[in-house]
Amino acid sequence: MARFITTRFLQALLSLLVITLIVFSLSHLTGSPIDALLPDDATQAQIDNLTRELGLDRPLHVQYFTFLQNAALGDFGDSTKWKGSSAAEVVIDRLPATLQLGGLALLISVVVAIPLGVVAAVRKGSSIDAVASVIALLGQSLPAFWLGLVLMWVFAVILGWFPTSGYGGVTHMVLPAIAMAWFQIAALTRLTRSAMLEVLDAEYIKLARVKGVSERAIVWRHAFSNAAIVPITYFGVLAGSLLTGSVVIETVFAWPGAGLLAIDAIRGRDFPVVQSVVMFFAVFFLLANFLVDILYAVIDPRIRHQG
Amino acid sequence: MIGEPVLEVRNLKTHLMVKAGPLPVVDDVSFSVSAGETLGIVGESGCGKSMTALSIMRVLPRPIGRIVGGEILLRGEDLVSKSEAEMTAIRGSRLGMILQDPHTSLNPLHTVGNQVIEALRINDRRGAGGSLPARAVAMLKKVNVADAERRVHAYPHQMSGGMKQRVVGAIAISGAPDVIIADEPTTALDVTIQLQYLQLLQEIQAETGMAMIFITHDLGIVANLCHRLIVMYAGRIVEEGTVRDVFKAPSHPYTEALLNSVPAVNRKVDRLYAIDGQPPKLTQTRVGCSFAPRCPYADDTCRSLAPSPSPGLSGSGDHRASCWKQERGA
Amino acid sequence: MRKRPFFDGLPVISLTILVVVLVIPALFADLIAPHDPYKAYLRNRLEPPLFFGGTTEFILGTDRLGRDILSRILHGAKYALSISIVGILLGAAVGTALGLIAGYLRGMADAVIMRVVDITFALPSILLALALATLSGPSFQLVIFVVIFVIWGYFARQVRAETLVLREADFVARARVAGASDLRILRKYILPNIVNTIVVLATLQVGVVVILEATLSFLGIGIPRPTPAWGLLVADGRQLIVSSWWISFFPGLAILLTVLSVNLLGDWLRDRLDPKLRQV
Repeated sequence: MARFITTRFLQALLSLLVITLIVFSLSHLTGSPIDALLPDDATQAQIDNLTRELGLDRPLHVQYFTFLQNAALGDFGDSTKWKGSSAAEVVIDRLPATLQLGGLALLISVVVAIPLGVVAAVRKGSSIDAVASVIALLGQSLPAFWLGLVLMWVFAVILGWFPTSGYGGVTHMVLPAIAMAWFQIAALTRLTRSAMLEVLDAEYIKLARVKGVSERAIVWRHAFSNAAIVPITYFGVLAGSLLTGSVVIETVFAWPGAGLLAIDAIRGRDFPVVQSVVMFFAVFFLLANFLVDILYAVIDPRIRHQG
Repeated sequence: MIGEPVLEVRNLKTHLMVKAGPLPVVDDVSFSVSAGETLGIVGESGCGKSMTALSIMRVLPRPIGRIVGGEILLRGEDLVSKSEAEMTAIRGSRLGMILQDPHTSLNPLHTVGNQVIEALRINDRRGAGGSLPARAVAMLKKVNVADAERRVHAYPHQMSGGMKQRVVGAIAISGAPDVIIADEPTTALDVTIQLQYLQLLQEIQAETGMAMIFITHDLGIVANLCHRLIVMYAGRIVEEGTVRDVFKAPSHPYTEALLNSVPAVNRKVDRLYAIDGQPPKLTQTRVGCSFAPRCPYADDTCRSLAPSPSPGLSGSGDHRASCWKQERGA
Repeated sequence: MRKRPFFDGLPVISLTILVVVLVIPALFADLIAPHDPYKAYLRNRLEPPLFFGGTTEFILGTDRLGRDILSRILHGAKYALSISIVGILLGAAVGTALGLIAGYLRGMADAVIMRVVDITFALPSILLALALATLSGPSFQLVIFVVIFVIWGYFARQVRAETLVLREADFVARARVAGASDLRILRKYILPNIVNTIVVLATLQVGVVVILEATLSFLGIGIPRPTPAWGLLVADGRQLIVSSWWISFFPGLAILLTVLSVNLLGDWLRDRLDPKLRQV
């Protein structure tokens, strides 16, 4: 198990390294960060100054290592739009709001999708199965930002059940969380259903049946625990797409999280802030995937006993 | 010691409802098995022997498997009319089953101990003493799992096939069932392990006096283990009788061919048999004897009329065969 | 496996919707659009759609500047279609080429390419687009780049898997004995056998690409204004959803219908041409 975890950890580090390389190349190759940092009417002296200050006159690999060093310390420079704060501070300030919304969306996805997928598989061909497949299809086909607006229009404007947008308590979170969860519900339902169908065909399910285990225990204790490995491996992806989903949904509902911050920062040409949002999200995403790997090993003794 | 009939199957008919129409996988099958007796069910794959077993357990493939006729009497109670909840209570405690492949029939996520404990917990009819873990160890010892105290904590992937099949055996007898059905339990095992396993089954039967139905395509095993056998072909019984009678005077050409294709006792014959052709597809409308297309003795009668079982062969009421030609050798 | 009739209704309906909502408007918007999509009828600002108090003049209503929503949607189809075609062609080309190399050469090339695929799958695409957009501003090229980045891995993975099998096939071995070069084997023997897979995968990706493009444009990091790209049209109505729902609603409906029908079509095509892709 130790070897399994070490391998996965090293792989995550490698991915992180690649991401830093991409972010670094983006900031240094596709356009000079000077342009992003200074106003258009900056003087040559200002440009030269900043170039030296940022170390842009040094060789690229030296710049990259400096960037890595700073990134490891969470230092992505100062925000140009929110004066007086470092980019990391600005992002950390907004993270809790994003995590609240993402957490609720995750909860909704799991609570809806897992039972729906399980029941759809157990009662394959029933009306519940049909509902699940319609949801799966609609989940792939509905753009989240538009779904968010339609939910807002119907449930906030017409029915008045929820506030239209902005930050606040649970009532403020319901609509954005549903809009965010929608695609995940579709994906997770489909995954759970197909994993369950496969497991329900297994011999050990037949054995559980012939040894007199009740139907409910067969479905949950024997089949679901085995099928769960598939949706669990998906949780890493799920966490990641909820984060990126936050960019879209926070924009729609004016929810003041890190996603909306990124969009505001782009409009204000605040590259240090965008860069730190990207890095924070990437680290979070890799961390989620790493935790999933560990969870996977905890559940499945065959992986636990590797090496 | 062979006692009273425990399980009686009468005119059992099971269909698989596939898209092309109902498939009669078990067609008018009747037999009984008594306490302490071992009944062998023999035939090629697809002949309906496993479907017969799954019908008795009422765990046919869902949603396509359906019992459409007949009775399954367990000590006089008809299982066909039982509700699903009643069957859940009967399975494991009064009917036990051993599946074919030990490598896939244990749940990979639970320790073998917990899987035995689960069976003990749900099937406990007498409230036997001792803690569940202790009784699980005792069960494993009963099926000759060495070092049982340690092995209860093992996961299936840490055990050999023979060992896993012993665990499956322990689960099957955990409720002290009246009848145990073993569906080709040794097919997936090495030859030496096979013999040990069969011995174990015999010992357990001698000790508990339960009835056993042993499904196999290996006539060598039948000769060693069973008291009586039935031979199935295309969902029907073509011959039945005591092992001695049937082996001495096989009265159906199919049985005869099966016996001829066994090179030596205890040799596993996998892809059968020195018989040309294949079992009929059950979707085909069946006219006459199902075996006629492959039968060297078949004539127009065989091809147009289905034979019915004729008793009284070998001078005993128990040996019968469904064949128009059974006088041929006699 | 149930055999399906070649023409059951669903693909025909999907194809019809696709042609009506996407293809015809994309090709003939200039001819069929009732108004200039950029022209602001300042007197007719925020007119509701027909049946909701509007007139036949502006069937789907007008936006804040009095621009005709129907005309803007019709013209917007151009961007959805061209991004899908260009992005998927390029993404499929890159993915197929790398998949062929990985599957045919195996070894180190295979290991490196597949690792890169894993990493690109691990990188949330919107983050990439965010970083790019801050530096270079929103543009058509940026959207294409992000689309390629998102989809090439699917092609590479599938093509590699099939190439691994095909390179061991008898007819490839015979060609090799006959002295065919690697390039010729790839082009004449392997590629033709994976065309079906590529076509099905490409169809299945159209929905993904349309939504991706619309999302980027909605966020202001895709196609730049004032182009009437569907995502931008939805964004136009975001602030006005309380009073003028139609501005956002109809462009979104166009996206939904397009993606829904192309997904149905993709599923159907997969079942017909390439059932082994069922897992994808």
